[in-house]
Amino acid sequence: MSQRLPILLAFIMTALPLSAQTAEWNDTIPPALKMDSRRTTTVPGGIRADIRTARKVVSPLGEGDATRLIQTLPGVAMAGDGGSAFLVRGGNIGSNVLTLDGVPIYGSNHLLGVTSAVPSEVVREMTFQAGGFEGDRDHFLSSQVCLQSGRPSLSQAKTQLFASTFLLGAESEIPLGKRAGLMVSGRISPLQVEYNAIKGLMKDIEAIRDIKAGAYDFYGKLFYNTTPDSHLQGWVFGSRDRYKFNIGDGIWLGLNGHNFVAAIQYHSGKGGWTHDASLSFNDFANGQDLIAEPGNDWNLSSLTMTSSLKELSLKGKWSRSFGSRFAVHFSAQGKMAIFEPVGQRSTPFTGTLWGQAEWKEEGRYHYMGVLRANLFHSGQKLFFHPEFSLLTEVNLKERLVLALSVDHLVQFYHTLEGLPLGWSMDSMIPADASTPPESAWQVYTGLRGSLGGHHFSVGGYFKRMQDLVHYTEAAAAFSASRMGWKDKVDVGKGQSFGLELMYEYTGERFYGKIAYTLSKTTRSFPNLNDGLPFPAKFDRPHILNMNVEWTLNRHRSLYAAFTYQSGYCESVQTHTYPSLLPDNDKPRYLPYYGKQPNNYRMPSYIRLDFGYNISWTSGQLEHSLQLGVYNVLNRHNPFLTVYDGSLDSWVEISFFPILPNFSYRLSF
Amino acid sequence: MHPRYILTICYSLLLLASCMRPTTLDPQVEPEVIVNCVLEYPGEEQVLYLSYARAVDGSGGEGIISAQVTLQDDSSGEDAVGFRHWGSGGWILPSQVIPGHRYTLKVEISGQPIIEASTTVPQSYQVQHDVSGRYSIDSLGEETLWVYTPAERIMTDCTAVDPFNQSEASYHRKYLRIPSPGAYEPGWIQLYPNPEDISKVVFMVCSEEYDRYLKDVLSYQIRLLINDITTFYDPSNIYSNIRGGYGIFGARVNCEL
Repeated sequence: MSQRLPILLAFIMTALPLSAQTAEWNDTIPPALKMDSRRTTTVPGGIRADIRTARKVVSPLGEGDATRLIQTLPGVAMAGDGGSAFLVRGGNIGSNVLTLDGVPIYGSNHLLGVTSAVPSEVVREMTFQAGGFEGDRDHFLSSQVCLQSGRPSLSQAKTQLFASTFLLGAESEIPLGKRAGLMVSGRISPLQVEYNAIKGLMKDIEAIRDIKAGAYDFYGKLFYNTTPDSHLQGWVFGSRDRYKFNIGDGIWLGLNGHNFVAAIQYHSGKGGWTHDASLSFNDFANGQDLIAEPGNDWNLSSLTMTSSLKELSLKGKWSRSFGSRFAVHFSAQGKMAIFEPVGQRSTPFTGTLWGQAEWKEEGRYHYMGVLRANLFHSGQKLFFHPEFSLLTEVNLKERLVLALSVDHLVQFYHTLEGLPLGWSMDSMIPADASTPPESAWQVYTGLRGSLGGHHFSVGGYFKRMQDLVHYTEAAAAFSASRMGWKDKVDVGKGQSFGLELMYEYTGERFYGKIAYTLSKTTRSFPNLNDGLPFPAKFDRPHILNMNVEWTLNRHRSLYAAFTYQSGYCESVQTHTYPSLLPDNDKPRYLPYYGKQPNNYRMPSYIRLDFGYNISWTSGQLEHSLQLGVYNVLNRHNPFLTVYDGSLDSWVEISFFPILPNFSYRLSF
Repeated sequence: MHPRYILTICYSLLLLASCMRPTTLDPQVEPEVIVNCVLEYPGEEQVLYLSYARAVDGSGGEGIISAQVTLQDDSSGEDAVGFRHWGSGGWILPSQVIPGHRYTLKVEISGQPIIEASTTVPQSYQVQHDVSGRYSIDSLGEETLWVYTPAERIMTDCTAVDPFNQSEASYHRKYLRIPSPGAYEPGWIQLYPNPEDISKVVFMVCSEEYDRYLKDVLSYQIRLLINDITTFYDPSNIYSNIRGGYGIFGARVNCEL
């Protein structure tokens, strides 16, 4: 088994994600390079960026997307190597939410977490917030990634085609008269076809006898300008991943997940008032299974773990501006959901009323206050949990801002986290009497300023979290189906504090960014470590990210990224001890991982990436080609450390060696 | 170059380059004292195993022969009685335990902090059965009922059974776990063990501590059996109620048919 594990996981984490390479290189050279402006715009508590900026971030094998850009920011820790999962200011992976036009996308990743399920072609810009939250958001403890879709062109048809080793796709914008437009996008992975082509050459790999793989997504949006001041849009988004691995002995390991989201949204703005209304439906499901073919040696013929969430949401929002300095916002929202985590059905309801007041004068001050009243009904229990956010930004000098934010946040959906791949393999469960809603207090204060092309920010945060869930069977994602999860969930606390620094330089041809985080994150659960605090799994005290981009000319540019992160913490087996079972003729030995969870810090994570972009035109056709090398240093950043009895030694398992990649895109 | 060869090279490089390499690792954790003891009723003697935890390379793990091990009946308030060593880390107490009583175990080893644990012996009960494999159990309460058979597979019609070790074909591996059996309305259960192994069926009502431990251990064994690849990720310890050491101190009331 220990020999199968690295090869199988390596395939999952490397070969499959190759399909995403195309997307990363697809449109890295937009017609107008942002040579003389900052790559990101600071917004209260976060950043805003054009999606093209996000695409440029070198990712292991997949498209640079919103989450890749976020992983380069201070206060953000990476989870597993190569995955798009991230943790913000000491929260969990499941403490973050990604939304598309305000609708949560619960299964936000493809290809086991390496690339986004939402095609970047349909996204115009992204906003990331980790504090000083506005009222118009979802329920979470750490951060929200808001993807804003683009509007289809109302004047000219546009099409993009792209092809790469493992991903094919197309996106079109079609005007429908002068007031309406259609945007459609689709991507599919030809991984199965490619695997079949080289299958014969992989016969000597014992870990994987056969593979069945498929992944696709689609997006369609109809946009209609009802009046010059209002519009109506309806959109659907769907994605599906399905993988099956024959791991020998007649056993198939299956992983699958899908999203389907549909929304109708209306916006109107006139005379200082704006109105927004949204009705959306969300269907998210995932599952893992182990299927044994007849005649195998096992007594267990099949194990399946499935989890699904169906959610219907209705939201209305009203905003009113009074001059240029004062604005108020009000909203009412109701959500009905049906959860079926591992076959245990529940139907919670969430109702939220919120109000927000803002008072600001550009270049002088910005004050904001948000109050949200939430009712959550689950498992015959009614919870009332208010939330609030306060934000103060004062210009000490013309380009020097002092910021202070205080947030009290609540999260009603727990995530039973398993492998930190970022792919939504994890089951979601609603809070109830035994696992109350998670809550957090967070304070941030800092300075930010700029001088010419130099920009900096420095700040510190303190965060305390209550009623976090710890899934003690994370190690058994595939076999938990029969073991239940209710009695495998511990409820505890978390704490994190840290210092965040960022420096950016933007020149005519050169852009550079350095982000550093110094932090400490702990967890404490009554049933672990005698209730004493212990390091959180992804407590990474030092995180350093450096990115540079050098524009050679209008058609060529170079990119480099360097990452240093303290190793994460792992529970390493320190001893074994005899069991005591009723049928014990002689004791079998059980693993012991030390009294304190996460008792071993993995080696530091270090990676250097290079990219080279080139574009050209021929007639009406625009071509772009991107060449890159991931992990230039070929450093083996270990993902796991396990004791291999056959080798009589500890072994480090790592993915992603030095990895060249490329992609090509054609636009017209 | 033909695309097929490009793909072949890419795949081969990826799969060969992904790395599993030996390393040295010393978590620098002293071995815990392992205490394993399950009080049994009925039974004329109680057995306890005392040892150090074994290193992952198999070294160490020797039994502890020098210690003071006592059992206190908290319910009766009688003086604590001592176990005596009988070899290879095994300790024995020639005494019966009383159903419904709470007991505290104390282990004192020179140079080590005092090790303690407590458990309550479940109430006794009666089991009756007929030739068709129907079992009727009286006087059951909230404590979990376990049924054990040497058969690799056992099946039942009891709807209250915990499916943690159940296969798709409704077979359970060796054990049936029935939480809150007293609330199971039919009052009897039908067992379908393998015919060749029907000679022995053991009913056990377990203390809360031993119930948790037993389910954890069996779940772990199933994970090993089915090659769950995630077993290596973010593991957690088997349940233990030993303060100052590790292992299990529990109780069970048996009925063997």
